[in-house]
Amino acid sequence: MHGYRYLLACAVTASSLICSSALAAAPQEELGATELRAGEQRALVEGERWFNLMQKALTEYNFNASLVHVQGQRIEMFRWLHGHTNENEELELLHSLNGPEIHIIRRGQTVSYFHSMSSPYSIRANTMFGPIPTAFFRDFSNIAEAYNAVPMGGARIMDRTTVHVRLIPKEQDRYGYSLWLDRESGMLLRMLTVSQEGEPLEQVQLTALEVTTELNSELEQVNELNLPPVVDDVHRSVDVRHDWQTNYIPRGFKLIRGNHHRLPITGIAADYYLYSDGLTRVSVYVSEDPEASANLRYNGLESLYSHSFADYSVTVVGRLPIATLQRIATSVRR
Amino acid sequence: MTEHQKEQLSALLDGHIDGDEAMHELVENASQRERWFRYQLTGAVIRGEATSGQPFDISAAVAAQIAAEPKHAVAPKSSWQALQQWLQGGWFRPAANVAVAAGVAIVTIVGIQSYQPVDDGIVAPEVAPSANTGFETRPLGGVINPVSFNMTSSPAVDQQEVDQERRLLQSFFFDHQQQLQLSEQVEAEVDTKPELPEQEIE
Repeated sequence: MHGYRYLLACAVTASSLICSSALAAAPQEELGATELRAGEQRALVEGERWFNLMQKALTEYNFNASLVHVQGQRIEMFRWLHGHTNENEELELLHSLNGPEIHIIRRGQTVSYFHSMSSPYSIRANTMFGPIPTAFFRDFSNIAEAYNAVPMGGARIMDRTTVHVRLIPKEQDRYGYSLWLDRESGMLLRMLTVSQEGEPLEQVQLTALEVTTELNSELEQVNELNLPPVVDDVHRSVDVRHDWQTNYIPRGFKLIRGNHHRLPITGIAADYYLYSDGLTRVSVYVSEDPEASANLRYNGLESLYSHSFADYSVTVVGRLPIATLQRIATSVRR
Repeated sequence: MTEHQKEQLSALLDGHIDGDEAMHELVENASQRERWFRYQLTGAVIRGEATSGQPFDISAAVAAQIAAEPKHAVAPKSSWQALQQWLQGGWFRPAANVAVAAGVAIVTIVGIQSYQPVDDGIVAPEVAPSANTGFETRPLGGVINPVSFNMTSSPAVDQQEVDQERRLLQSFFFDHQQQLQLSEQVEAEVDTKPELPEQEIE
């Protein structure tokens, strides 16, 4: 009964939100603006609550899941285990089932990457770098500046009743996300990355999920592994060479990394800046190497735009629409 | 590399071949290692979601091959088992294997190894040390995935130019992924510092 009423309330507040954002300047005399705003507020609070429930489920439950990750025509499949030891240390395992064998193991703050064709290594981090955005493992406040979370109703996913929560960017210059969360537990069952036009760019769908009270025995074994060495982040210690002015950075993006390093494969030396809006991140490379001077365009889920100035070139890479990358790239001045 | 080898390599990347023997045979040859690496990276930039205007031509044949990829793993072996097999012999593997890693994914551990960029399909087994010593991380779950790529169906444009552009794109995409992984590390350390003021950072 309660669930049903909730659903209705969401439908009303969500549609009003869509209207208000689509027709930002349209007068709303008939509905009463204050009432509407209150509805919006309630929806946003609910959305945030659901996001944080998801974060809690992803970081606190003992679960054994399978998922598929779809990008364009490519389908990857993973097993995904997560749990807590008796000492309350978090253990996590992600194992690819299609294509090259990949294992990612997380034990507390050590994340180890194993690839069948390369040497394993570890990184000190709280989250694995896998198909689920790392922001989903953190509190909503980390993305609140750039995104609204809005419950949109429900759907049946994996034979479960879910709440559909949209992460709607406050600016039209980046992608949005749709999350389907188990109504009972808040667990993420499906995720969709959508373009500004609403085209799906990437999907993650769980295909099996088992939540247990005890830690999975496979994860117990992980706890006994000797993990590979932690990488030495040499890049971080080298400062950028020039004081480049990036005159345009989309709202909500903050500089989280800056250094000078050489790129793999080409050996191009570049000043490097990494910006994050909490959910998506964008790399800005500024190089004086003539080899980097090419007007490259690549438009995909992960896009790239490079712009050559007289004596330097700027390349911007990230999960953002190419127009946004272009705007950033062309704004960089000496 | 012969046509047959190319086919094998392509099949390997699509997971059509399994077994360590085939893998070993394929990566033994240095030029193949480099090509494998390129194929992997190329996958990043020729995948289906690309829209028009991209600097690549995806032939119908390749597109069909991608579409025909096996969609489901059958009876997956225990991940634990696989991992254990993998870990036999410890981290520091025999030199040949480490070279494979360096060639394929430019992964090096904690400054022990260094690499030097190469311009064409041959990687010297003993890579001369370059100024760029350090480790490299492996992109995951994102852009860089292997994909079938048929070299014989290249478009009739200046191949050298295309190769050069592709190499540049790979270079940026690969680095971007590495920096993303490393930036997670930064955030973790920032998070832990207040709680563990005495702990030394490795």
